[in-house]
Amino acid sequence: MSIFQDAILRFGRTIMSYAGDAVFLQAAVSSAANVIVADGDVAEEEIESAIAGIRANPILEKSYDTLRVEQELYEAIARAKTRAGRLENLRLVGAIAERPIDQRQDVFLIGADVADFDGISAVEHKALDEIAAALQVDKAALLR
Amino acid sequence: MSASRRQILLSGGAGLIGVASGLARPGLSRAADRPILTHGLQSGDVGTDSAVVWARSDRPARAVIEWATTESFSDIRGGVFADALPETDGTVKVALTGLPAGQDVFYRVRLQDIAAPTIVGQAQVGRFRTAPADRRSVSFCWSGDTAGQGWGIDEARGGMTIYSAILKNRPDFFIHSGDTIYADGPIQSEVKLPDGSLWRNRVTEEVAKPAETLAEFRGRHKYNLTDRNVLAMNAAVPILAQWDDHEVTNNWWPGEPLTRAEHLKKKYADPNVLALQLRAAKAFHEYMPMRFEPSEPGRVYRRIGYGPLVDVFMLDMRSYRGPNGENRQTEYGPESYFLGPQQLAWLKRALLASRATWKVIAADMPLGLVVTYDTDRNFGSEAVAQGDGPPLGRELEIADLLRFIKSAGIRNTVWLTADVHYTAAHYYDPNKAQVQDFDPFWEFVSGPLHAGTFGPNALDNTFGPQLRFVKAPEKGQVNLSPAAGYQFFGHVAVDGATEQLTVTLKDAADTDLWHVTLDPARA
Repeated sequence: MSIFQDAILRFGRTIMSYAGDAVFLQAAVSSAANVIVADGDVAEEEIESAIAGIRANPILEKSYDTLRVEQELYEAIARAKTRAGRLENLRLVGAIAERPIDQRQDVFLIGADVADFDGISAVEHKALDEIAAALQVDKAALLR
Repeated sequence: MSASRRQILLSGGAGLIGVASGLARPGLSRAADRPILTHGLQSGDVGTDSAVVWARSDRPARAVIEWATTESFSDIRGGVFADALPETDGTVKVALTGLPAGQDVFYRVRLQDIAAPTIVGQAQVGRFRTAPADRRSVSFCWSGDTAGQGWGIDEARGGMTIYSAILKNRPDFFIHSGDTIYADGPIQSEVKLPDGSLWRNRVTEEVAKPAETLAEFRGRHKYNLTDRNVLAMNAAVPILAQWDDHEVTNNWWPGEPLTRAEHLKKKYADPNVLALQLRAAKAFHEYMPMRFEPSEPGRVYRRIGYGPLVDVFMLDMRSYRGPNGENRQTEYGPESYFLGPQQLAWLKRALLASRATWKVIAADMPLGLVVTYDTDRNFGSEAVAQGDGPPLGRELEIADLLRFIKSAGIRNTVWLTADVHYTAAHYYDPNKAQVQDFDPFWEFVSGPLHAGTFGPNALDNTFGPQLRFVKAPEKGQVNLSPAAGYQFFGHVAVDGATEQLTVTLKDAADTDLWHVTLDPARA
């Protein structure tokens, strides 16, 4: 079970009303993208993990078809190829910093799932640190 | 069953032949009874550890396909059965897997008659080279347009000789850029040439009229596979095939009503292209040595990884396009689809994930050349371009793709295409374009392989194409026969040491017309 799916069960949360929420989608794909690109390579498995993680969110799953998720994810990955793009992605992640904690945790965990695909490397930890800071979430607690 | 399929296969051809020859060694020859491989062998979609091989039987038969790394087959490494049945017109395709990288692989196909299992046909042998796992040099050729405009196989003129020229180059693979057949072009027995001589086509029943039935579409593919040059190349060079329009009919788009003047001349019985498309696609996939994509049966677009130096992205610019019209939409939507959103997303993802030095985008149509849709009315766009100016219509999709390639830092993309029946080299320069948000890139145009020669077409300045080379007929000359010498293919060599990519544009005589060497951009 992925970290994200596990969190939904552990917290027993009801996902609330961010249907059709483009800001939330951008935060999710940007979080995943910065982790995907962290080690300098874009692996097919990481892309699959990101899409699966985003699709596992019931509201995003209902709001956006896979094609739209893919389109936004690939644009986010493209941005993440440059430092300026990664900063832009972090800004998009931080755009939900004022939102309820469950939304912020979801976005963090989508990135964490990508990082966790083959063990979390040092550069991926660094990317997750930045994402956690932007979201104001407790990284260590969420990865436990 | 006394021996498992695996045991039989691993025991190799010798075991199988032993059984067969032991039973089939009568006093009278059974040669006339043996199942026959009717149209040679083909291989395709070759990678580092797999390839597709193709054969066709003249009757229901089990094809036994073995592979080895020696031509003597002294080391048979594996094999597989596949059944050649009427449902697929006797064709079989199998993927050989677990192949060694960077290795010459020989494959042997024999047919076992299903009605008389003791009767085994004469084997045929083909070869291909798997993609290297290391950075060794690779080369390949590309072109398109086979047996078009009524120019078929004239035995006295040597047939489709350009295929022998390609074989002479010993490429690792050959990209057929589309128009693998001309389903809608009747091939007559004789055509008078400007010099008064006759072009004498070999003719079969199926090629004498525009294809409409499944048998007629299949017949077109079979026709090309009777040419000795084609057969020789197919047996030695794997093919990466894509389709364009003439696998179905000229300049079609999905859902097109068959009401244009040229449709009326062709006397199609179907009111819509869909029925033709379905039959044509079935025949195309039966006869092309392509991988099967279970998530979308019939998919043509795909990535072929050919080692660390080359990834080939085979596009399908036909199946997902919107209607051929004026092509002047100002916003992207179904009317301006060309690759379509799904294929575009796939391409972006595949490019992002590519680790190859060179990303070769094999397109069935050029990006910057204006191609008219309905020539009877001089109306509409058949390709991407419609004329100078900012991106409109289908150009919106291409502009988005080019922007993405730049923003994602995807380096070393090269576009290869055919379609327009002449050869050219285009350098797309953002400094001379109507939009600047892309990195410069090359597009190389080749073809026809064996069809009428036309052109040159007008360049559209939207993406700033600069004509660096062209060889096309003189003004006023159209539909030159293959005898005129204007048949073209391209050769690409990637040097393993320098990773430089050299493109050479060639003609059917294997003459080097023009070449350019590109240095790879580094991260």
